[in-house]
Amino acid sequence: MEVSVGGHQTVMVLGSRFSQGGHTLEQWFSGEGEMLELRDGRVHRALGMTSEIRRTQAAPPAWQALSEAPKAIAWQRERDVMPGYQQRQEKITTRKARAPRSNAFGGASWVEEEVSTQRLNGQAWRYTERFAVQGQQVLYSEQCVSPSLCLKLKPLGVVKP
Amino acid sequence: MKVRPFGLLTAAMLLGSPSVWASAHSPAVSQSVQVHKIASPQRLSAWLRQNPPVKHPLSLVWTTPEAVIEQRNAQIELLGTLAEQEQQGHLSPAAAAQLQAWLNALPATGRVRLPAVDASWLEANLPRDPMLAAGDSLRVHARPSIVRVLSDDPRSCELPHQSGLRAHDYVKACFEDALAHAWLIQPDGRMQRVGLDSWNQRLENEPAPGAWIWVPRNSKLPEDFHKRWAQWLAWQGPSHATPRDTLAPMTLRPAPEVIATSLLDVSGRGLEPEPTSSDWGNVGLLQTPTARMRPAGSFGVHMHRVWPYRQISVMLQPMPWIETGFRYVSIENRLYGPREFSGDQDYKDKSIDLKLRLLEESRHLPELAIGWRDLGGTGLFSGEYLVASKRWGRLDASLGLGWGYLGNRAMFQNPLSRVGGDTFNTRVIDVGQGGTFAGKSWFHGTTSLFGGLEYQSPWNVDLKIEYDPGNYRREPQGNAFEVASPINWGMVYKPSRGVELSLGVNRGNRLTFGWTLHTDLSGLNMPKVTNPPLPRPRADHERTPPNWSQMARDIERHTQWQVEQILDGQDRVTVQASKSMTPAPNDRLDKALAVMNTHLPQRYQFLSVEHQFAGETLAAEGADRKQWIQQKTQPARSTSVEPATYLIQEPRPASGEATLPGKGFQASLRPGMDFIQTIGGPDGFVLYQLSLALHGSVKLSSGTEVKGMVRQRLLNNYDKFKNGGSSDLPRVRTHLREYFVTSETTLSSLSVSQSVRASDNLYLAVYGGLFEEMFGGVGAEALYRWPGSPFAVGLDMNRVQQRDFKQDLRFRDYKVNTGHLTGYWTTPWDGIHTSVSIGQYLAGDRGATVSVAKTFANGATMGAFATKTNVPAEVFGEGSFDKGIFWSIPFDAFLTSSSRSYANFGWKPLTRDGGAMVGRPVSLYNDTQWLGSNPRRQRPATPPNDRVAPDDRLEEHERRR
Repeated sequence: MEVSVGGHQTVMVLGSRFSQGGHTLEQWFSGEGEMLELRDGRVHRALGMTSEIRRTQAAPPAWQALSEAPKAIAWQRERDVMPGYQQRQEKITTRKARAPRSNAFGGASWVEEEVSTQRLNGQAWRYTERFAVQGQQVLYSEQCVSPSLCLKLKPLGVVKP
Repeated sequence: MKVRPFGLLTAAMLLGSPSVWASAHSPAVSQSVQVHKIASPQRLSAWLRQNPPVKHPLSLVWTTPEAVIEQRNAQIELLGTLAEQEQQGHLSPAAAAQLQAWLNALPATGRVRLPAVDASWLEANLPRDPMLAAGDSLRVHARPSIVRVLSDDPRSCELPHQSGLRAHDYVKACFEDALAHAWLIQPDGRMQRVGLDSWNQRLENEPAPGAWIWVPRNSKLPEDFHKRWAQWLAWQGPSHATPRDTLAPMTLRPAPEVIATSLLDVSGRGLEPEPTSSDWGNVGLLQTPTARMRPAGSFGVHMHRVWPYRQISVMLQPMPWIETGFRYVSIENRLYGPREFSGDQDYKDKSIDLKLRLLEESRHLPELAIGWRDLGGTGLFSGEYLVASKRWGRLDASLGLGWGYLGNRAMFQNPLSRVGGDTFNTRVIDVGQGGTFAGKSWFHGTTSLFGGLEYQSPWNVDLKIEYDPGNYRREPQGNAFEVASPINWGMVYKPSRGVELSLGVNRGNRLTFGWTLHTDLSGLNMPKVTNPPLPRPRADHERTPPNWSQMARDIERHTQWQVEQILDGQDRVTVQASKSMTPAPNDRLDKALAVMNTHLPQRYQFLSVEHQFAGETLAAEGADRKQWIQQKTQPARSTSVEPATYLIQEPRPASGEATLPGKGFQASLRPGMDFIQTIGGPDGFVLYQLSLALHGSVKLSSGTEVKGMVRQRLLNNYDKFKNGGSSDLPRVRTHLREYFVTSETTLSSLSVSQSVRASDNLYLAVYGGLFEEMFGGVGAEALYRWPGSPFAVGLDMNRVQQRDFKQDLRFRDYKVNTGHLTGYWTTPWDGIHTSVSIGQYLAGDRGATVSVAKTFANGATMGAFATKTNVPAEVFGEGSFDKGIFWSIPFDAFLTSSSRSYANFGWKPLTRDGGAMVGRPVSLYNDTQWLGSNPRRQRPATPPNDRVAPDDRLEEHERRR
């Protein structure tokens, strides 16, 4: 998987993929031993990085459900994040989005998630995550672990759950 | 948001896991613990794979028998301290009895801190994956929902955890009076000292569910006592694991309301205090200083412009309580001198600043500092001040009293005159030769108040406003300016770490602009990504006989040592190395051991290194191979683990069969770049020479060394240097121009030397040749140095002759005897070392040089020196006597490859001929560093917290500088 952080590219390799409770979990590793766990393409945990998500508790809408939903779907998630021992409450609005002009993922549908939460310093933090989804597979995404660590993820092979 | 107390947390309701939260907060909390005894050795990752998922990884507690022993000792010591404090009357008998009861009730658990608890991540990070052994245990706790607060009076309190609350909020809910500090202990054992009041509150970790907070309320108890209590609680595991009745009587409180952080965050809940530069380069408001300091190790370059002044400053912070530096002020509407002398160059004034912190801020008292501006310059801008600063959240207020340039507004009579008499009302400005410390005029003359306010916003912008004590009617060089307002204001934008851009209005009518670049030299650390890959420590050893020559080459490649010989003993291999005093010696030893471990079969159980100089062993290091591998491949099983490696000064000679062929001679040729600069002269602000340099050395088997350097000039503007200055002394250093412009290719040095160990602690060296650019000759040095002693004494004597300006093999007529008796002392205080040299200098003058320097743990050094000889100030010329500031940084700290070199910088107000020492080709003190009192002190700085994984973050009390 190609991972882009602040304009710098690196590669993570797939360590394991397994199903759990109807979801597909993938664990990706960098050469430095950092680990990114994706659940159905969403960042579920991030360990060994400058910011970490130690736990995510959430029931996000399935990608399939989004294509059938006429409106945006609001949901919530809780994350244990480090540093700071913060138990971060996040309010998320997921909606279908237009494909960007330079869309390298023809045939994929685009989804945007507006996340509203708090930084460790108590200030509001709002950001948008983007996903290019084809069927149940996320072909490309832009997600944040913390305000200082936002990732662009592009699996290089075809992911077959 | 109002939160209902006890177990009905909004988050749990939202996420549908109330059972976990509820059980965690039931009175019988300790029953929610599952204790797993470990029966056979296994990695934690393997255990995690075989057991149900851990619900709250932060609360997983690993205990070992080794740590139990260690903690029992700590418990006994803490009980002893408790008794001492009671005897000294710092604790009431009742309080001491209650604390003792708590200590006895809380067991020595044997807890060892764990990293992130995740099987997959641990498997990918094997050295962090603990090896569980028989006798260990793992305690799995349910996810907690409480935070407990204990105080030393002693009281205990329990509250429901609520996301968004800080330690301050919990403590305030438990004990309503205002308190200064607390120790926050997270359920995973991390400890942090946190501020509770408006003057010390800052961005801190939130207490996680299961956290402890230890609150010092008794100001008579020492801080170390509280730290040890915090450590004791950290060993207990998450707070909910301790039954309530153990800490009886315990008060139960509802969780306080979460206060949303306002946009301006005036209370400073999200503040990370960062002092900024004033217009003068030191920490302050605009024209005025504050009592604030940057962290120790800070180094900054600053430029500021407000017509007609343009200032360039270099500021250093060698200690947390000393800020010093130097500055050039250009006066743009005045010429340096007559046009035929210095052309159109602006007038330049040099100055040295010093600010000392007298008092640290506390609840009722401000931070207090005393300072000198232009301490040793010409006195044009000299001023003294006493300033106090007090913080309320994001607002930092300062109020000061200024004398000299800082008292120009003459608001009132000098208050010191009431104590010291009328002489304090008169300030004598005697510019003279400059450079003298005009102690007689310090704190003399009229006095003004100054002060202001700084608001550090949450958006990297600071706003400043101040009352300016200058009246600008009697400025240096006959200047007088119109002042529209005594109020200055401005802003500082900090686009990234270490960069400040400032904009403001001074005198009510002048726009100002400035920038500051600063960094923490003591924190410099660069990952060595271009180093050759180091073999990983492993326990499966080679079975083939070792290739000794290849091993020697690999060690040299990884360590930059010179391997002289490798001795093959029965079960021990000893590497004999020279030139092995490098930055980060512990790292170099680890690299050598990693290489040896890769090359050597299993029968070699002990690996050692002998550090040699002049063919003699100064010190030996080494390790038990098995123990070293264990420490490199798994986390420690207790807090205080003895390092696997050892250092012995004065070792017994190693035995074994020599495995490498004898070396006839060793030669090396190393190209590089060379930069020389002179700042602040009348002919050009910066005069420089950039050269290609070729360093060569040949070392014969007898120990004789020939070394030299050839320079090929690439860029040079010393031809602008028209003014060598008049000198009443022999011109030993003021022929700069001639030396740097006469020839493009120069032989900078070429010398031959021989060093020997004459007796146990006596080292001798003789040398001859071209010592440096300007002098050559013959000389000898003796050094008496006791192994492990902080003291050493050296004597050098030289007969030298001035070299020809072409820097070839020819000499000029001037000859002189020069030499010094030098005493060295490595003080026990914080890496401070000093030396005093007494003797005859190059111009034939006699006197002494004192040097004091602070070396940080990463090898970066800041220091100052002064030389006073029998040359009178008027003969010495401008500056009155030789003095300067120097700093050096190991290349290792900022290059991506390991290096044994240092970048050295020095600044002197002026180069004059008095008090000049000759540069010698040998320094026995440097060559025998392995005999020093703490030769392995240097180690790479720990990277800043925002560049490491959360588990690797260091709290301020853990960071070594």
